[in-house]
Amino acid sequence: MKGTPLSILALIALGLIVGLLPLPLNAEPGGRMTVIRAARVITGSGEDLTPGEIVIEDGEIILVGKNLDYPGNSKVIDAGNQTVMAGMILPWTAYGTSPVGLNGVNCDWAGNAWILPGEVEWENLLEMGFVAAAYAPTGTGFPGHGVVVRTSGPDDSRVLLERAFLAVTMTSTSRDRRTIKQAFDSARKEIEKAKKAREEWDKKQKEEKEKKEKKEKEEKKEGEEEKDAAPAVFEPPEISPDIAPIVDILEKKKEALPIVFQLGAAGGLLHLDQVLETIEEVRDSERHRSFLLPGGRNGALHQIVEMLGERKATVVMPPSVTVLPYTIERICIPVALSRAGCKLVTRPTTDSIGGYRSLLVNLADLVRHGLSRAEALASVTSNPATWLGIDKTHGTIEKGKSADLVFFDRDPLAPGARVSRMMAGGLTVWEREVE
Amino acid sequence: MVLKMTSPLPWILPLILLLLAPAPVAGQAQEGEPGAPPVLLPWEKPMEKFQDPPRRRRRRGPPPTAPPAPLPEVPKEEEETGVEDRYLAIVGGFIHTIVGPDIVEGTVISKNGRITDIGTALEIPSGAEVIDASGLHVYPGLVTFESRSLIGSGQVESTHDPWGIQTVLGLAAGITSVFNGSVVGKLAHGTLDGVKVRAPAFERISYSSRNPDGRRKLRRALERIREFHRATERYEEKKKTNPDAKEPDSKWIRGEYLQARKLIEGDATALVSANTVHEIREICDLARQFKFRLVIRGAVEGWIDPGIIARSRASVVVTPRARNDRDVTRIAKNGSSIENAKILHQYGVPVAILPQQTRISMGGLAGRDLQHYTMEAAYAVRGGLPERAAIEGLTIVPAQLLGVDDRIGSIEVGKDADFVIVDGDLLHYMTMPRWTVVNGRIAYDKVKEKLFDHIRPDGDRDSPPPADHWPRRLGDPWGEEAGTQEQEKAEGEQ
Repeated sequence: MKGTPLSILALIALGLIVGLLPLPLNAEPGGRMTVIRAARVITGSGEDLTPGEIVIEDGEIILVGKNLDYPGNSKVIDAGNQTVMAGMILPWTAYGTSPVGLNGVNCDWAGNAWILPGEVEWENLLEMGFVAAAYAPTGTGFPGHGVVVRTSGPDDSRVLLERAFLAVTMTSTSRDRRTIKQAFDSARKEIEKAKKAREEWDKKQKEEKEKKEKKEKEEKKEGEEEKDAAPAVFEPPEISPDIAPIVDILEKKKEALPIVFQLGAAGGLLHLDQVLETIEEVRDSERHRSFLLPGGRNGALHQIVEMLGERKATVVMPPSVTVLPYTIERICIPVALSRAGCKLVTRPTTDSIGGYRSLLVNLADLVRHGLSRAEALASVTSNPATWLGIDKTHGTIEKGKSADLVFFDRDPLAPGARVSRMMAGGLTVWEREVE
Repeated sequence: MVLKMTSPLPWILPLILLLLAPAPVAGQAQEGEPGAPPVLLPWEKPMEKFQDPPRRRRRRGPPPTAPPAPLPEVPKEEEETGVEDRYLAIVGGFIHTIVGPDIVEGTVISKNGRITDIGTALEIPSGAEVIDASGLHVYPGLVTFESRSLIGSGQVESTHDPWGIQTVLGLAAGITSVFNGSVVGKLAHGTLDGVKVRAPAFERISYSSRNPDGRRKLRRALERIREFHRATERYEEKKKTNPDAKEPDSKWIRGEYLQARKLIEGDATALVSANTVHEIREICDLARQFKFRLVIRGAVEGWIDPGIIARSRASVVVTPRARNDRDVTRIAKNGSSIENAKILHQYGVPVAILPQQTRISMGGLAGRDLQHYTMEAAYAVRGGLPERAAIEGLTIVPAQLLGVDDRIGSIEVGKDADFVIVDGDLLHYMTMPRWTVVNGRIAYDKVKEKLFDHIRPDGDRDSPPPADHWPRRLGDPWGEEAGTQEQEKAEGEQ
């Protein structure tokens, strides 16, 4: 038995090598397709399929339909009586972090997401059906930008979108009016500065060129030739990263972040309009029309429903049914907003496990108050995906999108619906243990 | 008599000489001469003469400048052509103009928030919003001397919540303008246009017997400012003969001295809280001595010595329901009186009325806050104040004290279109505002607002609920009304 320790060592080494092999993460090894069969597939892009099949290859949905053909070696997940939907997106959260708020103009600040990897119990978010979460900054003025992260996968590839939106608050009207005005004024100054620097540079270049031409003429006379020096590159004056996103917005750059205005009360909208009167780059742009509205006893939000509807705004708010202030008249602002023409993005009533757990129940409440079922489910899937700018991969079950799916044991809006399985990139990342 | 006039010549001669003498040269002019300019008292002189000399040393803040005197704001007319004119006509109501005669079944027409016409059988401009006020009473919107919660604090145009519940409650009480401690603002609902009226020039002073140090300081400041004015006067005189005369130093005028200067020069009105007759006498004496304008908050014992208030030309802001029990151990008159407002009014003191609580809160003093502003005036009427004076104390008098009576406080052509349209006598306890209009816009409509839905406009508890109210439009998904919206939509499209 001389060879035994060696062979054991070899085995261990082999095991280590195999274990450390960089496997393709979001794909079933061996190029196999995965097929999901479920009693109901809520595609989000058309009719629900009952029953339906989803074919996944390399973590991407390649086919959705009924009675599909697929290779015999495909891995089939028979979800039986379950319902499959595109993974839900948590549109505004600070879950698992201790919120740090900055006041003033801090567009470069990643809000509460800077501490993320390893800190959050992602399992909890998976259990609630979220495949992605947008970490939003807390604070006042321009507290920072949102970061969209995956709820599964390794920490180093967790960030899905580093800059999703720019948060601007309008919670204390006089303070925020001042901050917004000053921020845009200083951004304009930066642009002026850059313009001036450019002009000066151009002038200098011209002068130098003339000089050179003169020189060349002289040199030509002498019959000598000299190669041109590489053309100098204009370096614009450095802009503080805290204010750079605002400069991008003013310059209408393609990569400019959309602004989310966080309103404290209905009246904030009028104050905001007054401030933006002089900032037509924001006022007239379709991009900067999203609003984070308060939930709970939200005062007089019913007064601005039509104003927001006319703008076709995106509203991020909790799916709550409230009463008119000082009365017992029940109203449902999210439903009214949706009817008025707004795009509804719902976020849990509270940013905690309890809030996430009651999200579907609250959504069902909205349906009871007149919201269409499709719109209610879109408000946690496709609408937030579009709003955050991750709609190329998330939000619906369609060909070409990432296979980030949530399995419910029954209809998601039915009482007692629970997540039974979570899939991200075609892989099952969470499954409820059978009790 | 030893001296005996034999002829009038010796008398006439100097007279003729005097007449023929050349006109007196400036500088030699003497007081009392007809040609000389009248010598003005320091506080009567125009402001420019007392401007601070240019400062050389670095200062911490901006130089203290007197607030600009409120200029009568000229309504902008026919300026913007792009914006359509906004007309509002209130038709058929009993119009209480406050300053003029009442008009039975009158019409008030306003354009872009300003009253343009008052009368009977007026032609209503086309496109005007019409309020049928027949059988109702039209009063100017009520003005409160103080309230910090009904509108935003500080600079209202950036802090006002145009849909705040306090604003709605204030409008439901018929109030359209309040003083928030910094500026006079309108209870604009759903808009931020025309929220600010003006910042009144008040200097809050404390002259209470409990604060002898503060008293001494104020008196000293006033005396030093008076000294300064005399010194300035002397300097002006001296300068005429001696160009090198030294101007009195005014660098020290800041803080309490600046306050005193504003008071003496008439740039500000003193606002003081005084309740006992002793305090009232003290502050009135001070106001008479230094000749500054005075508004007394409280004045519970004003009825004991109304003469001194009248003589010092002070105004009062009273709370007719305030009760201070009489101290029976004292022989002198003391304590509150329900006749306070009446007695002060009889002595010609302008009386503004304010309830005990200057805000509206459901957990506060029910019936004693601004929700029952008119009831406070009704108590003054119970004490003998004429009803007209009581209503003036809710409208034009506070507007005058706040220096905004050129814009609000009565129904007059050129003033702001702020009205409260009530279903009875303003001071009756069962009267409720039916509409409240601010800047020519309906800011409160009892039928549409849910707040007092349980109290029907006509007093009938069983009358059907208002048909068109926003939340009801949502319909009942399972009820008979389900799908009516879609139907209506389809019909509309057809």
